[in-house]
Amino acid sequence: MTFSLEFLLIPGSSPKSVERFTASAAGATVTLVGRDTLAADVNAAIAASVADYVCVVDSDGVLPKDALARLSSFAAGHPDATVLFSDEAVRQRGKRHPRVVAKPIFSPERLRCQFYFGDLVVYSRALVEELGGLDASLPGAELYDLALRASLVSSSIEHIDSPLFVRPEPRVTALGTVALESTRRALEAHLAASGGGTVVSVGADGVHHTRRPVSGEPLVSIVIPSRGVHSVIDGVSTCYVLDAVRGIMDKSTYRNFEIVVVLDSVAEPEVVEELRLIAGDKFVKVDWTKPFNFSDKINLGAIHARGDFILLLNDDVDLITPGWLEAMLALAQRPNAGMVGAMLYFGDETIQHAGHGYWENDASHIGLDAPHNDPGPLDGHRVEREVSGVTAACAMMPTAVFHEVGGLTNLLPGNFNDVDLCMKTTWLGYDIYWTPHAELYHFESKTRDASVHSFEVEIAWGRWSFRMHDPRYWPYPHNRPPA
Amino acid sequence: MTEPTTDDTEKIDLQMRQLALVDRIIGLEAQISALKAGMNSEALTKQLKEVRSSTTWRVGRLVLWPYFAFNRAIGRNK
Repeated sequence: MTFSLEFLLIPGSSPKSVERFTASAAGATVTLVGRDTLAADVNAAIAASVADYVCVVDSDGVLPKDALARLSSFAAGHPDATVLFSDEAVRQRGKRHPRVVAKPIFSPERLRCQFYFGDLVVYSRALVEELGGLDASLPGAELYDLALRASLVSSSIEHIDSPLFVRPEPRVTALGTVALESTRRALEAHLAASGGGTVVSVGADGVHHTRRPVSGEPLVSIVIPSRGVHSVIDGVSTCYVLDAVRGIMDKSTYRNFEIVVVLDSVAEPEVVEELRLIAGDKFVKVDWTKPFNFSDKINLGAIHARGDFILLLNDDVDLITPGWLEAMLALAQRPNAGMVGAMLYFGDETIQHAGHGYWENDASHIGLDAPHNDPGPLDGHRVEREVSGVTAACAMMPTAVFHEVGGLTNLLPGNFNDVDLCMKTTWLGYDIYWTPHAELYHFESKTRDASVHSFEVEIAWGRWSFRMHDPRYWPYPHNRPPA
Repeated sequence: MTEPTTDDTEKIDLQMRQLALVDRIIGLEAQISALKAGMNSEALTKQLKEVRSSTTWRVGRLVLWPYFAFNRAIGRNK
């Protein structure tokens, strides 16, 4: 089968760019369209086209040598795919090789926060016709809108993990007022058509704050395992669980929750009494009398939980975002959601967790040690997105899913039980999400001795070694090796 | 504050065992898949061995030997 592709080319900044692009696309049809009359021109060109695939592209970039052959080969191997997008490369001044911009696979929740597909998006012409082409009423956001609408009806959207478009730096200019307004309207329509939500803000830099709604007011059971004792931290007597519960009670805007605290037998009576005073009838005390096993402590708490959603939470946290429960719950209520994680910071404001990354047989935290406002690759620290896993230091799950996956494995009393939990959750086909709109401090020491035992590695990797390299949602190496 | 009673300890133990059982089943399924994945790489190693012991490979090595020797001599292909 032949691969027929027509490029609908928007002339770039220099007159020669059209020539350059056309030369790089030898073998494909190239038709010029106007930037100011984009929708009308593209729709007319598509109506006249006989190609199987079409791609609206800016002539400021070029196709690398074998891009068309790779596209053709990929399309042949994925006959159901109606949308294809690829990694990109950015030419760097003074450097011989361009920088590759790796992208995650199709991630619908991420797509409503940023148009990360990039500059080279190839559509089946039939799909574009089915969608009615570009929407002329959305100047400046026609292509994002097309991708959003395609995402709702396409049978398959595929990512090609190879840079098939080379563009100059810097990236496109900031979105103007008209484009921003169009983006807002496109996103509002998309959210309305895909389960609801709100556009909080649209960003000139292409990062948009959109939120899914919370449906109803389900009970959330916050399960916190704790020793329930004071310890001296930096010369000050501190009881983490008291501070954590106080923060939750004082700051949380979502109020339908209970706090299930699983307390060791060494817990100080005055701590228990204080918890009663702080949390009142939201406090559920569960006694743990066996030897230490973090997983079983969580499982015991989950069994006592009455909520439709369970939030696993370490006791050494401090809440930053009052709307944290809403942010996590909205994603946990998505169809097929299995787990939702939060943005965690160390006490020194550096990032501790922006999701789990599984890279070259290692599991670590996305964003680890990055500065507080570090956007991450492709602004990944700033957007809600699909992810392969999240830490159990703060993770929400539908209670039914928690039970369906057998809770946290008690074979792993200390380390990697959350990695295993995430693996089990996705193994059963559930999705995991991460949100930057639920922020907490997690005071776990940066330099803590994780004391990983060989049996823990054997169990976790014995189960999941074949999935310990998962670049689907985070195609980047770790910031630093896991502690 | 609500405090669970202890007279349903048996029920709780049962639920804990149930969770552990589900966990073990999923774990075993995963281990089987991990073993299969491992077997696949063993199969690849075996195939590679077969390729390396084939006449075509040996003849190819023989023909290209001067090229490899030259590269080694000038410090490439360490």
